[in-house]
Amino acid sequence: MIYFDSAATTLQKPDAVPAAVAGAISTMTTPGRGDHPAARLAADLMLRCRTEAAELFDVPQPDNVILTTSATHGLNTAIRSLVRPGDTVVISGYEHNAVTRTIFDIGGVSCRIVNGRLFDRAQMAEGFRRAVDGKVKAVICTHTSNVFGYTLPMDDIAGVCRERGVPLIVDASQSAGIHPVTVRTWGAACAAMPGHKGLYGPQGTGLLLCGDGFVPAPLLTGGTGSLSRQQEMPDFLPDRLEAGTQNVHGAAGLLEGLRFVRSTGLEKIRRRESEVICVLADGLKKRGDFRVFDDPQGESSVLSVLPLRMPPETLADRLAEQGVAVRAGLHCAPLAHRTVGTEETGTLRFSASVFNTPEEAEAVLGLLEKM
Amino acid sequence: MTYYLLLSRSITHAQRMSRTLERAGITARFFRPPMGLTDRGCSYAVRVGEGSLPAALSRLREEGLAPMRVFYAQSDGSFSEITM
Repeated sequence: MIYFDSAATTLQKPDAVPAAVAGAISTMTTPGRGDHPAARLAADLMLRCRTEAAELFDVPQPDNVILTTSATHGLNTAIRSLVRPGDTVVISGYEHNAVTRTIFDIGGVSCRIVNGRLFDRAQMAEGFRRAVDGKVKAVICTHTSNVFGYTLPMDDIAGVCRERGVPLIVDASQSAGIHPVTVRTWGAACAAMPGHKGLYGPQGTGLLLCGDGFVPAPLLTGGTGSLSRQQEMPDFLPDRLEAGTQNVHGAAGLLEGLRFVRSTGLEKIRRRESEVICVLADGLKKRGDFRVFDDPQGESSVLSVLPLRMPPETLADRLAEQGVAVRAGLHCAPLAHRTVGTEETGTLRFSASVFNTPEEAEAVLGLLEKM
Repeated sequence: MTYYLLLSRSITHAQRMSRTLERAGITARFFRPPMGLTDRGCSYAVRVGEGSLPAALSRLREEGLAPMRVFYAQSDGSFSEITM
């Protein structure tokens, strides 16, 4: 199979990832629940995972790295902690349902949406400068659009938030492991990300990275192995946000994914993925029967296209029959499609990982020629 | 055997205290202390030898990892709190 659906889940993992999960299942239990070797091994693993993530993502300290089940879990925790009915928030026009549905579910939240032309970073930065004022309770913004691979000017957006004292929640689902995510430098309240995409970890893992001083309210309450007589959840991280038995086995895989990303290097990962995506974009643009939404800077790991001769879903099916994995539809981000004008049709999305090759992209172009 | 017990707020905090001290050449194993030492239930602590306390506290403060409380463990198994 040629796999171009890594923006949903990376399929090919570094060999160390499944090995670590398998090893952890038979050797590790849960940190903080016992003081025996199996629990201590688990505790050591969790701290190494937090430390690795803190170093990769510029987090003040390992305690501020919260192991979650997904980016959605982390975003819900952060958004519900900061935003209440009656508040005003600012979001980009490229947000995922993990953000928009959560805001909708809180109810009564006034939402300022910063739109802007696709890949026009200057316009987006200016939009945030205009939209963020003293009335805004939080800015919630995707770093990279999961639909279009558009990386928003987060340094500028974070600068606006710092200058105006507004907490920034970053959805780094699509950028983690590809672009620098710098929680402390941005001065962000937090950044949320999944483990199973660009970090090459298992599904069911994720990270919520809290900036200095941001201690969100917990979504879940329960045992933490600490302060057990006290009925309030602990007021310190990570315990405050990690009630219940932790996914240590998932964290073992995630740790190896994080190590892989760090040892490979973001620049090398980015270069490989964008090289592959550029081959696809250039090939499809030459055909004339696709609308191609490619990054003019050629720095994207994701490519959305609109086939003009058949619906995206039909083409995705045909590609699947030929052994090519892509994704068609709205990609759980109807707002992004509305912003770009593809809400009625959706798009066909190719998304690369560092394991893809330009030859695979050429092979897909060859298959499309025959369809 | 006598030793000092540095009480931490969480297992993560205890682990980081232990690692910091071990890196500084101070033997410091983290473990669960007797629950009676706190009125809040389960906790974690780091154990350091009698002669290591000043260096340990200094190192931990430098790293922003100061213990919540410090106890002296007597040879009969009893503990007395040290005022910081």
